Amino acid sequence: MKHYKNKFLCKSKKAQVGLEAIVSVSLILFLFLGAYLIYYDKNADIIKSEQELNERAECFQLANLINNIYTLGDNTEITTKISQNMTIEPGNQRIYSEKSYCTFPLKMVSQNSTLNFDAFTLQEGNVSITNENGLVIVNNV
Amino acid sequence: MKYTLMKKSIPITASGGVFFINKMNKTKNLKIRPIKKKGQLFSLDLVASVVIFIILFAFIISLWNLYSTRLSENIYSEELQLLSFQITDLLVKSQGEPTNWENNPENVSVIGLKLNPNYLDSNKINAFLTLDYNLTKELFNIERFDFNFKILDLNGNTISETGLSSPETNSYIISNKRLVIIQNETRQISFTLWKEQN
Repeated sequence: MKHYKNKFLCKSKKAQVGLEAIVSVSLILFLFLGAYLIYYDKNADIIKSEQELNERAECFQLANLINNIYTLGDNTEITTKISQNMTIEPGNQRIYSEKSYCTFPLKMVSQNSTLNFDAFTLQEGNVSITNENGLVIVNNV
Repeated sequence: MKYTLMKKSIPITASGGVFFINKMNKTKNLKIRPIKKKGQLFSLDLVASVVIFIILFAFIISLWNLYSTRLSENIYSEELQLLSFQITDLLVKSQGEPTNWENNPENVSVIGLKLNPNYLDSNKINAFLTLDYNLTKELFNIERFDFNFKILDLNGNTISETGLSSPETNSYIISNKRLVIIQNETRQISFTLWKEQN
């Protein structure tokens, strides 16, 4: 075997990975990186949608109960549970949660026995909905 | 370029590429058969698999977007359905606010047509039919939508109606029908709610 003065001039005995393999692996890595980024984005969308849908379902439930309590007449009462804070705007006939909202076709909603159309917030937990002389009173228990 | 290894060939490395020397000809005529000097950057199987992967991935993404659109459409029609049910419930099961609102329809807070359970008050119906369309939408909180309200006989013939005529195609549309008694006659009321597609 030829002796080189400088050992770096000597061809390495180790296996040489071909350019083709490097390019192929890089390409596959880039593809998977792109796929992962898309997955990450879609996963974030799913989590957001799931939260919105849950909030929306709860909002619809509350709106339905308010409507039903009104149509069932005086002295009807029901207690329900909400898992997040909700703001009711009787003037706009809307219920807001953190990331969602829903509407109801009724203006006669208040936090107390006076109808003033002021917005009020319900804390998470038990909520009582009562019909008093045609006015639906919604409040935390 | 395809190359084949000759039997009993030994590879040697020289500047410019790898050569194969036939052992048999080692002593006599030294025949050197070079393989292609250029590296094969993309082998066919890699290219094919990458193309298939990309096509599948694009298909999955487009399917995803399709289902996302369907989900939002579903959510939208669910809202319409719920509002439609709530409004018909309100009309059939409540007397309205004030209870004699038909005497002064302009000052109505809640529209209700009930006389007795499942019986509708014909005076209230008349007042409702003559009520301003936009005021009705505002009271029901359905400014984003359009509606049509009909009273039909049991054969489906329209007796009276208010609101816009419902579109036949190209819209989210929810129709809600229920049986009621008006002046001792069994009637159907139909409430249709829709939003034109943009």
